[in-house]
Amino acid sequence: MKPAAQVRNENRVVIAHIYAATAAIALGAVFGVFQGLARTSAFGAPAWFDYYRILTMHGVLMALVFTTFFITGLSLFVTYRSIPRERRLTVAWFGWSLMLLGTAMAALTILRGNATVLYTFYAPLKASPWFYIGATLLVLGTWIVAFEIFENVVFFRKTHFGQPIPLVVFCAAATFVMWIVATLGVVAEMGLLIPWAFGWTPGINVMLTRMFFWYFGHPLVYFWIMGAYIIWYNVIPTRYGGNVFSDGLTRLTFVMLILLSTPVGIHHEFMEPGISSTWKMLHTVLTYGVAVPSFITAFAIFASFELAAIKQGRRGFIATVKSLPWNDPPFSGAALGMLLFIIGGFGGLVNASYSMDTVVHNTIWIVGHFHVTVGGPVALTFLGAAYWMIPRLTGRALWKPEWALFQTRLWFFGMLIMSLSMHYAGLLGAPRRTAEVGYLGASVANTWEPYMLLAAAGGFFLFVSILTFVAVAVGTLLQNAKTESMEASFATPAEPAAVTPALLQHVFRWGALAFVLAVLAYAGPLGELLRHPGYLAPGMRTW
Amino acid sequence: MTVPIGSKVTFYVTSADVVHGFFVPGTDLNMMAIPGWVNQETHVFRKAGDYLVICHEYCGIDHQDMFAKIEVRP
Repeated sequence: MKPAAQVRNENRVVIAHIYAATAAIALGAVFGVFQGLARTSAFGAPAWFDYYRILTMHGVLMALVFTTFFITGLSLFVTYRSIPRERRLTVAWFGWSLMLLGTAMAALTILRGNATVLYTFYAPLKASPWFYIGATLLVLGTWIVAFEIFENVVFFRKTHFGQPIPLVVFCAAATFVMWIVATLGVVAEMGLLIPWAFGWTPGINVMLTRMFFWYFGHPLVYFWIMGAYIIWYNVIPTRYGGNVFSDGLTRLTFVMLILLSTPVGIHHEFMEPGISSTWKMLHTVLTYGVAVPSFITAFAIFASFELAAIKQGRRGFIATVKSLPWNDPPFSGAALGMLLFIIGGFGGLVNASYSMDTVVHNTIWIVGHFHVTVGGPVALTFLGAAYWMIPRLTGRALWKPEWALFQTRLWFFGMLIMSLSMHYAGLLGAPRRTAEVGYLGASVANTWEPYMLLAAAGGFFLFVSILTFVAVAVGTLLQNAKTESMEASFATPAEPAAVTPALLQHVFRWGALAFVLAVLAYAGPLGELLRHPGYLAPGMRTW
Repeated sequence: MTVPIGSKVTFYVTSADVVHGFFVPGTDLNMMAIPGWVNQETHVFRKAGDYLVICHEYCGIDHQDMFAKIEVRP
């Protein structure tokens, strides 16, 4: 056992990450609900309301800040708890501080109106350099956190020679191995954007920045998904007395995600010139490949449900579903998130198909899609997991657990209403990221209006749900009585467990192979771009 | 722009400033307009009516006002 003071200090680092994430989602929700209302002509927006600035803030806070801080906090938590040792926390605090500094720089630049470039910051929209520097520092901070996790993996291997690293730590390390490979793209893009934003370079190759962005942008979503999978595989079975279905299959899923998350980004660039259909096709096929670990996960999670039900003497689909702890907030968050992922997963297959993407690209269908994915399985699992982590970090019982349960259910219905309306309005042609979609009463625009209203209603439910989450998270922190056990346990395979092949243990070597795959998948399209006489766009501020 | 029904029209799209979009709701005419590059797509208009053309990539403060109309007439 570790001395209590050591655990307390580790918990402080994790608490700092989780509450930074909480602050981001709270602020992001306020900005989000305004957008939903602004897009309906019934409410409209007051004159002072700067839709695009608020949209930039919402996207950055939710997609980049909330998710990242939660995953860094979660991964540090599972690593610290699974590998008990004396450790200095200087590196961990440094990583957190850098992430927070970067976030503050980027957020203040956006709020001052100097970076209304949305969270994709497509050049040649030219933001203040401090926005790009802030975003870069946020990423570099995550690299420090990754280093902290990897250092613990190396320590474990040295001190437990021949033993596999604990499954949950493997999952966290795999998530950050993938993240390092992926973020090389955005750091390369920042290497072009920062000198250009300062005016040191006269212009920028727009297609090159877009390719670097999407090299990073799609694996970013798998970073979120892997964060949710860490919880689904390792934490959720402990809520119903179940087991990990298979240690080997879980590691295989994460290895596949390391390999296949990155060489897929061009499916975001189907509608762009300058990339031949050969490469668009290759990235389509690989995108279908990355759906495989998600199908494996669907199988493994339900198999774990079923085996737990059989252990209780229940058989059959309905008996299995009934045996699950639906009133337990952490389980409810994850399980309702899984249901939303069914919509998100199939929608993603539509987006990854060139001919179907021509109908939905840059329509609000896409917004519906990523809300039902990052805002479905990912965010809802994270909020549920926060209800599991916070008592274990603070020793305090959850304040109003019935609110927590209500929060997960309200989120599910709010997201269902909002995302399905967005999907449908997108099929009817409603564009994304547009302040008003009336188009002077064009008849096609009138067909969107009821769905914009429904989406706004769903968004309002989500807003209330997030306020409820913040109330429970902060309320728990303010309670005086420390009544809860702070032990955290993770799911293990049922005995007798099959031996996991040694091939699946080498998380860093798979990372190196993933980098090679990514280079192979991008060398061709990058070569095509660079063969053309490069037009360098000077860039401008159009807001 | 007015075209007779059944016309086969090839659109060439580029941008002089920032990235824009070229999208006709209800069809698969969907392109990004990128400075320095020319995008191209061919479409046959088989149904008469007014088609809305919208910029569907955020391009700045008046992005929502960037639209046009294609009239397809018998």
